[in-house]
Amino acid sequence: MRNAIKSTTIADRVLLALLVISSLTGMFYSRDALSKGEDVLVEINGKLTYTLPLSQDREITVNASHGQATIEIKDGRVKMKQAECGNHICMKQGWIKSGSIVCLPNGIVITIGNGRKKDLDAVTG
Amino acid sequence: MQLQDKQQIAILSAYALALHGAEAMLPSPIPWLRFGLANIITTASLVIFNFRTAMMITLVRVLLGSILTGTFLGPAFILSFGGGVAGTAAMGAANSLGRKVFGPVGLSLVGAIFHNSAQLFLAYILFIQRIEAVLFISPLIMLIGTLTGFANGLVSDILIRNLLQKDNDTIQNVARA
Repeated sequence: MRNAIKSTTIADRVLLALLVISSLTGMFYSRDALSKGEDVLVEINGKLTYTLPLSQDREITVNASHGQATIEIKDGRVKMKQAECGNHICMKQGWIKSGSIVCLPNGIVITIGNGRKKDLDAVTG
Repeated sequence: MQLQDKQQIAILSAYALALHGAEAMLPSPIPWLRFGLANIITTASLVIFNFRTAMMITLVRVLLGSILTGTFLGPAFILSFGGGVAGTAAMGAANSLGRKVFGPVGLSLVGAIFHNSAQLFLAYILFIQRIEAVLFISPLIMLIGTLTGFANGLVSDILIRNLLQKDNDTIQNVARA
């Protein structure tokens, strides 16, 4: 192990340092990229299917590629309660207040954003 | 290509496939965390043999791996294939700069980063189509990729030393006999 570390070239070390620094910086800034808002937007296979207020507690069940999926909204947070997919990454993510939950196998994207405002803009235009 | 080389390539492909399969069974603390252990073999084959061999081992691993786990031509296969080919191609390019520029650790890092970038790109094009989601997850994936790539590079360095050492021993033994 010691030999392996010693034998790294300068380029190896520079690359490692650059990658660590840039990914940490990226993580710091990517928090700002998270969308914030008052609505839960549910997209299924790229189509916006539901726009629900985050303030209102409720549970909805949607039909997706791999059967039904249940999304729960409670106390201003949202989570994927149940989904028929292999690894349940979406369910493991738990409650979110901002950003999005993505369920790849089902093609479901839950985002927190401002859905109704967009609609209004369209009307006034 | 000598018969002995062919045997080594076959054995390396089998190792890569075994690591790939074993890794799929490992419980993972974070859903998107994968060690990319097969990359140890790709790096070693690139250093010991050449780019063609490394690409062949990668293709054998991705194709057979997906057939054995039942994901052939599915979404996981597309990501695995794209990532594997892009990672190995980038490593081949980095390796062609010369031995003095990147060692096994650097090659492994290059492979890990291009593997992840290709997968993120494919996931964006084919499945997610939400640039914010991809941008948000990218730095974390890159950080994990850097750490696992570094660890794999070190293991690969040790493996290369041992394999080359063994070769030298055999040659010496033959010479002595």
